[in-house]
Amino acid sequence: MTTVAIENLTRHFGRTRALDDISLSIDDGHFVSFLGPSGCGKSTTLRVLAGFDACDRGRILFDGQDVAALPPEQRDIGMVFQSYALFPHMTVGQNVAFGLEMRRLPRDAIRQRVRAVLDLVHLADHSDRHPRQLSGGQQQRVALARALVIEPRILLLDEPLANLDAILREEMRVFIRELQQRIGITTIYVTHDQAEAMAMSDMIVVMFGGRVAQVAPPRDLYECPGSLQVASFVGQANYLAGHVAHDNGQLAVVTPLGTRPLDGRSAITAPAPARNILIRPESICITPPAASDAVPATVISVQYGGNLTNYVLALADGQQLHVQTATPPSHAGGDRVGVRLADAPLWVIPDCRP
Amino acid sequence: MRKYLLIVPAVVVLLVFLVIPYIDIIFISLHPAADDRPYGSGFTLRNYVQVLTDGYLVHQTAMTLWIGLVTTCATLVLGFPVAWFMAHSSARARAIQQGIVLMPLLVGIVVRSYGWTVILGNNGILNRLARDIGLTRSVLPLMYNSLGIVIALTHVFLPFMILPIFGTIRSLDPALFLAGRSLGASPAITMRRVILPLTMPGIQSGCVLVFILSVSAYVTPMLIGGMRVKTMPMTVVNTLIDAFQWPFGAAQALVLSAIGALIVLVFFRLTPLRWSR
Ligand SMILES: Nc1ncnc2c1ncn2[C@@H]1O[C@H](COP(=O)(O)OP(=O)(O)O)[C@@H](O)[C@H]1O
Ligand SMILES: [Mg+2]
Repeated sequence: MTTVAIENLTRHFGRTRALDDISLSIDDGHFVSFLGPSGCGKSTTLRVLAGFDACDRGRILFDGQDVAALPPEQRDIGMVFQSYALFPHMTVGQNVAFGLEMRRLPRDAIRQRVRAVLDLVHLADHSDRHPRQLSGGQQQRVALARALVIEPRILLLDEPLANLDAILREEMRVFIRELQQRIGITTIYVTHDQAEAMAMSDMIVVMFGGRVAQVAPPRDLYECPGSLQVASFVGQANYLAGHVAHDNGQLAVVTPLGTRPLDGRSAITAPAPARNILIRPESICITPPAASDAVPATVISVQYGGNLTNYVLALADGQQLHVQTATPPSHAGGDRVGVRLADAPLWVIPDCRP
Repeated sequence: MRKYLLIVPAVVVLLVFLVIPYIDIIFISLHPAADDRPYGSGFTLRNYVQVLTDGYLVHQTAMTLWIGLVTTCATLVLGFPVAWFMAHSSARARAIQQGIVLMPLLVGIVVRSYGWTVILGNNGILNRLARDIGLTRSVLPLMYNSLGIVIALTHVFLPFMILPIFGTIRSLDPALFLAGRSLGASPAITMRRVILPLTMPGIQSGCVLVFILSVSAYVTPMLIGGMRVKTMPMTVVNTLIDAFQWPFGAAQALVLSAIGALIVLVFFRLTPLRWSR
């Protein structure tokens, strides 16, 4: 199928540098998300890939072939827009058939493939409806069907779930990911929602201000972020000042909350002073105040979240900690408690001093 | 019930200044002429028979409608790309462009039409230019004919085509065009299959506006036609004011209105808003 390579992509809008030297390669059949705050250049990247926008510099290769000279209609891409962009004057069936008509398929073949793809998105009996007669989730699936029916080399999706309500959004995440894996199509997905990117992707590209900050699989991104910025954007994070030291012949991370082994994925190979240590909220345990090896803390606030409970605690020196437990609230604001770190290796944020 | 109060002023204005005069004109057209009064007594259809059987008037009506049709097509062909361009400009550029499109409307129609006589006249700018660069020795017939009238009307009414189409294009999702392209349609095909049908409401409004305005135009055809080409509104005015034949003039005006309305109806029938079913 299709691999995508992006080399040194740069795009200016007047003085704004929307894309700044983006390079990336995407394996065949992979689901890659571009994740970043609004305005970081995700959509611009997608538009350049689709051929809607030109780049000032850089190359785009599909299967090693430079597509710069190809207009969008010859790039053989399937695109799903945030607004869905369904043709309002056509029925669902006509919308889906449009791409096949452009490819001059015989009528019977078109009918068959439209039927098959509508089955795939569970809309077979909505073929004669107009888009405005469908719910948001159904429109979304029509958009997906319309993009997939042409069997494109690459599927591009620009914040396709942004207009859906929370429950539907989670359903569609699973649906899209399953469909993508079944078809095995190389997919590029743009979102500003880190949970979405984590749930769906093989690989996440984090972007800030037109630059790629990190490329990593979801778990590595969460556990081993390359910078403070990435760590904060991908989930909630606490940072403790600490250092790396030898401990029983191994490297260990020493923090105010205790000492734990250094994460094996770290590039640090020697003791290092004054570093930022990443502590995710769920790696802090709340204990009774007098428990052994616990550090005293005060509960500032408690937020109940059903399956999870979120606390804000303050240490004696005033530093605030976000803590998440999988148990119902057992403390209230003002309570004195103890905190200790879970028994897991710790990640030291590279090149980043407190 | 209270909400109907909102339309009362408009209804009153329409009634007093449009419906009642129209009824009055219909009333007048159904009476015979009289020497000493605007119209005589007694009911007659003679005025209509006269309009519809007078070869000269029939020819003039046809030419007036033809001028309206050609002007409508010309403004559509010229205006659509402008509307598309405006709708895809940045907010700042768009404000300037809107100003430019509307600017001609700020200059009175008489001045604008007179401006065209300066350009199109036998000794006008275009003819002098054509002579100077040796394009032609004789005079290019740009004025005193229907071509000149169409050129001037096209200019005068272009904003009325651009603005409604611009409004409709603006209301479309810009991603629609890109969606068409991503599905393998060239820009031209995307335009025809996706954008054009969706812009139809604006195209319809623009066409009807321009058609009705140009069929009923008086000043521009008079100045450009220089009385050598007469459109129906000019003849109607002649009949009413110079010849003082109110019933006959009223019948002329009504026949023109009726045929114009019929054409508009047929036009709506031929360009249905299929998706709004
Ligand atoms: N057509 C354009 N003209 C001018 N600036 C643009 C245009 N498109 C995008 N930009 C700018 O480029 C940057 C990146 O935009 P975009 O790719 O849309 O961000 P994202 O999709 O990540 O929210 C933003 O600063 C935006 O204002
Ligand atoms: Mg975007």
